[in-house]
Amino acid sequence: MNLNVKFMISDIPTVLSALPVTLELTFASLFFAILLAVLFGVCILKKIPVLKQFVIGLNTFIKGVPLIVQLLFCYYALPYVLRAFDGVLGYTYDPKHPSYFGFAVVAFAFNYGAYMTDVVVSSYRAVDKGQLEAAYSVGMSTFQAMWRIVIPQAVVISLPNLSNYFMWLLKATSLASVVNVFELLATARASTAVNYAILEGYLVAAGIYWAVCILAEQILKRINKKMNRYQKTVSAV
Amino acid sequence: MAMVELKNIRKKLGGVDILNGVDLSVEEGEVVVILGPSGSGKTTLLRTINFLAPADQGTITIDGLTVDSQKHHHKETLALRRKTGMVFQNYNLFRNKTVLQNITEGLTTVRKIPHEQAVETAMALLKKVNLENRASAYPAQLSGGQQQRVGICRALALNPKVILFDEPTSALDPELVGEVLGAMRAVAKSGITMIVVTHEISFARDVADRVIYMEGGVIVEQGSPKEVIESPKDERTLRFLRSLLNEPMEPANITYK
Repeated sequence: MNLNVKFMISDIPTVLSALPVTLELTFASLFFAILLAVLFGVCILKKIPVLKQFVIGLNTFIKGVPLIVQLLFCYYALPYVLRAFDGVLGYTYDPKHPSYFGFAVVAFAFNYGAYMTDVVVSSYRAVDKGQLEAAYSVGMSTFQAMWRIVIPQAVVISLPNLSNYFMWLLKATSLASVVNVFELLATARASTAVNYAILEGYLVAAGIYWAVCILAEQILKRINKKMNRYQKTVSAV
Repeated sequence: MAMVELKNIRKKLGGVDILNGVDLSVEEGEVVVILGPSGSGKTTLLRTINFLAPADQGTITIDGLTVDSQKHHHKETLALRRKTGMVFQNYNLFRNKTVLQNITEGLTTVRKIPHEQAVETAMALLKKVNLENRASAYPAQLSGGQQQRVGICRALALNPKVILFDEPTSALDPELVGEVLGAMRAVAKSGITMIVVTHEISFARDVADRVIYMEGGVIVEQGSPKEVIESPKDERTLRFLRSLLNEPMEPANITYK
């Protein structure tokens, strides 16, 4: 077996051109996943009746069903949902141009949101209760205590876990190639249609994913380190 | 009129009676030390005063503001808390803030004092406890004794009517207790009303205006340090003080095989 190295090199720019889509998909999904995780987390932490049970039920369902199934579900089911909203608040449903990207974001957001809910809940609980009491003791309102003391510490505690989920999500977006999103993997596969150098195309994709992940890991490591500086026992001075 | 007035404070925790009707009146500038075995309710009593653990029953009056434990609005609780300061057993300094920010936080966020002025107040306080050179350090970088001294500064900065000390030296290594007690003695001298829960008998003897002995959720005995510590009237007080001094307990003739 010999690899078509010349094709591989020429294929790199083609596949790279789809990297923005992969990154957009990752960040859009991450944004909504965190939003959902915080909403779900508040329902659980505040023990809001009905909502708490609903969130827990929904999350066990999401965690118990493969991500690819959820992507396919959104791909086939969401168009019906959108059609139902046709004409509501000036929205017009366009059956010819369904937003495959949007459907994928919904699936990723709910899937990762379910997992990140646990991160939100456990990070909040990991903040020493004395911190809140100390904030109260200097006269802060609950909002001030949360916003200035508890949440900043919970965020720092959650960062390593969130970083992991980010890395997983970045790679998981490749599954969206199955549901008509022309992200990195789908583009790599399409680029091989000319000469059937399928293995080469996938190798290029793998290499790019790897490079992006290494870069992302280094950046996240630095952010983690910076945010964690106050936990260090030895003074930097 | 008394600075702090507690009337018939009762509280249950997990179905167990912790406080069974405590009445306490503390005058302005008075230093009250509360002694008692663990589980006697002394820490809980302290926490009912600033509503960190609201009592089930009873009223709390600080500096003329009376709040009923049973029906309190959160605005009242906030107002009451702003008349108090607290020093915690585990220091509870804000971990994500520097030493300086720990002290200025309450001033700028709660009292809305301009930043420069808050820093000035904080630095002056830090100087008093010899920590002005650690202003930019984070709590994790300080020893327990240093953290607790910052904790005292944080409470003092808000110029409270009364400072509540919840076993401020219990979590410290023995060699660090002295520096914290020293800071507390200085606070006492400044004339601020203090309610101190502690096991430091020497502090109680030297600094307290009044010593209270609690057991079983009630005040068993109270009086001047001399009265309570040197000649306790109640047998329970005597037994507790002896156990603190490691004197032999009854029965004295325990034998080991």
